[in-house]
Amino acid sequence: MGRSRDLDAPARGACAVCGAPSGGSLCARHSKAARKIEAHFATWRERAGVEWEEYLRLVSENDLSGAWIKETAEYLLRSGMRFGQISRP
Amino acid sequence: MRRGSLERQLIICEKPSAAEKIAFALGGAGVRRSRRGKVPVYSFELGGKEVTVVPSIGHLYAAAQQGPGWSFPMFSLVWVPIHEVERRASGAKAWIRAISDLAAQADSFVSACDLDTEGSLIAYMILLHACHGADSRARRMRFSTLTRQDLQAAYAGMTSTLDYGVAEAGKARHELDWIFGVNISRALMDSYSRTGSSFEVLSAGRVQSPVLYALAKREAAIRLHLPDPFWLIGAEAEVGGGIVQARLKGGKVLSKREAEEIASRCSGAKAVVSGIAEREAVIPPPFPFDLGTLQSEASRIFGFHPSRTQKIAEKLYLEALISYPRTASQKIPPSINCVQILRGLAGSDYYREMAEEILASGRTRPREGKKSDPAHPAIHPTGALPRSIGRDEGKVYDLVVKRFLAAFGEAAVQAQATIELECGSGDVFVADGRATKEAGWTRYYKPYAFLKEAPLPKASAGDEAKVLRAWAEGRFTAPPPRFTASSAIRFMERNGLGTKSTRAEVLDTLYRRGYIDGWKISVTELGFGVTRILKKFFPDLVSIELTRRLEEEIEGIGAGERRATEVVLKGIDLAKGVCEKMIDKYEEVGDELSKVVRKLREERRTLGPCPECKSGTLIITHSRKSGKRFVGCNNYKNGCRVTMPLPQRGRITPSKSTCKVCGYPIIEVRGLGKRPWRLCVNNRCGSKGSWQRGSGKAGSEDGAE
Repeated sequence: MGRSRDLDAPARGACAVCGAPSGGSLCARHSKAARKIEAHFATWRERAGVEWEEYLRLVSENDLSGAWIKETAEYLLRSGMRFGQISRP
Repeated sequence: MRRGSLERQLIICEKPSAAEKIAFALGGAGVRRSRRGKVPVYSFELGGKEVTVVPSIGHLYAAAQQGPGWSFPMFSLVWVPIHEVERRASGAKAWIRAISDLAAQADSFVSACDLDTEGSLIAYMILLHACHGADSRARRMRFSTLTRQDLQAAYAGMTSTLDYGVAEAGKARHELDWIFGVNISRALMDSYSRTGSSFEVLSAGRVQSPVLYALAKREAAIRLHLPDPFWLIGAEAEVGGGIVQARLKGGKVLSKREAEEIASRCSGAKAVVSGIAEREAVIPPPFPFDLGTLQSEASRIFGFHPSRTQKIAEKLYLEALISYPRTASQKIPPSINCVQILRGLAGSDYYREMAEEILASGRTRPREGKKSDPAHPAIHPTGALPRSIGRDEGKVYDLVVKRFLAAFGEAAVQAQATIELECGSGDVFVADGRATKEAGWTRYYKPYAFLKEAPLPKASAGDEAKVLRAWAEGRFTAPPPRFTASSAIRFMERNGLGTKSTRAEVLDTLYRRGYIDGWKISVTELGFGVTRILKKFFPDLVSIELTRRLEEEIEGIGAGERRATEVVLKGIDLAKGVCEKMIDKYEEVGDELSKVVRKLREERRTLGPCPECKSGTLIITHSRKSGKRFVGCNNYKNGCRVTMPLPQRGRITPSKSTCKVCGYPIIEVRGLGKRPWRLCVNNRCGSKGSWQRGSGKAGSEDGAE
């Protein structure tokens, strides 16, 4: 587990996913999506036996994933952010 | 010119085609046609009266602000001739003048407008303003079809006064819509323009805003959907000398390993028939259509947008082919002579067999639904047959007729069977089958309804069977479905938002404003932005509860339980509260709006990633020299020189899809009054070969998805 990155921290500029103004590193939409991605990981690991990176890849490629979930999963993959680095407010 | 001492009666109708039908139904061969300018007028003698029938063209008066200027809050409104406030309604002036001239010579007045809130209001306003206060001397014809028989009965039995309650309810609804719409929209636009941004048409409304909010909530749930995996175990088994498709009893398996283990141990396994269940499913006939169900069915079957279905149905009504379509009723009251309608339909080669079969069966009453409407019955054919009919009108007419016939049908009956197969491992598979015993009403509703068939082989408990193969199918939990125009209208209906006549129009406004998009509705960034602002600053305005309460109060006016003034004043109080809150947060609202609009404009010009440099984005931009628009890569400063010409006319929107031939973005070009066409932006795309050789615009189609 790496150091926790606070997505709702005070003004740091633009959302790393969509560029919208945000209080943290992600805007409200994408930080909600990031938290959801983290929350569902346990279910995926238990059911499909996948690890974090594989999980993010499968979620980002799934046609049923919502647009904000896909974008955030792609960003988490790109940025190499590990499970547990997305903190809750 | 007065004909002797005959009483002169003026009948006012809602539309020219209705006026013609009414005149000929009442006056027969004695009808004289004339024109006052471009307004058709029909005259004839009837029962010792000189009758003149004149049409309106829908609403001739509209709510408008009292006095000039563009300010808000604005609660002083007056009713004025519609051409004074709506540029598109310039023709109304001639109509008002013609009706006014005819009214000056009339002794008595009759409203023969459509029997609903809008129709009653149209007639009331014309009688009050164009006919110099003749509303108090006017009578009301009440009819649901434009057939000669119904119209003659409506004339003979007209009420002694106007339906003031219904007209007042309509007036109050228009006034409340005006008060909320004008004030909130102006406040939004004003707060936005004070941030120094250029003009943008923004709107909010009493019905529009809660609907948009509901659509945005669904959109957010879809965009935030994270699918969870699960597995279903399917199998092909041999039983009773036949092959059946089966599934593992118990449904979902929540572990991939377990699913694969089950599939592997059951493939090729011996099994035994451990249970057989048989039952009869009785499927009752459908109800005749109310407007919402017709719109929803026409959308499912023909892909028609609800507003299109409504327009077509209104046209069929004006041609006296079907009854009045703006109805919430699923009932056909006994006063409607169904036998006569069926006899009329039997006159057509196409419907003869079905209509005669129903007549011979003695079933003269259709199945009815729960919903009722005090003014009109369910939509039904009049029994008159079309002489010639357009393609789309023909589709809706056929749907209405067959639905009406189906409502007289007997229930359909299907035998449903389930065979359970138990493997040695204890895993149980289930095979379902169904076979139609009685097609019943579905025979009349073809091709719009059909019964699925899946016969099962004969088997008995204890019979031997074999699972030939079993497999694990990976599935994922699905997001909530997107609203379509018809499901959005059903949602509005369920929640008491808008009326049967206005719901399709509200959706059209949301499309026109750019708040929503697509056949399967998606909410745009602008739609999200406006919703967010309304929810944050004016939660009352997006509340379904507030709108529903107001709707109930408006309906109370029609039923004589409320006074119109009291309801409008209540609405003004609510709107005032919203405006006061907005004024307090003017700058904040303006700032948020300008961010939203900026993002929207960016979205409108962004086409997608540049296929050449891979790191830039293709955007629509304008040449500084010629002012012409073209596509360029925003990575220009780093050396990407991709540029492509664009059509210089029409509105261009990114389609969010790419060309199958070259991978460049596809755009949608919309010319005024023309069908949109899709085009690959790459002028060197392989799909454009035929176009470049001068064979028309095939290239754009080939290159498009």
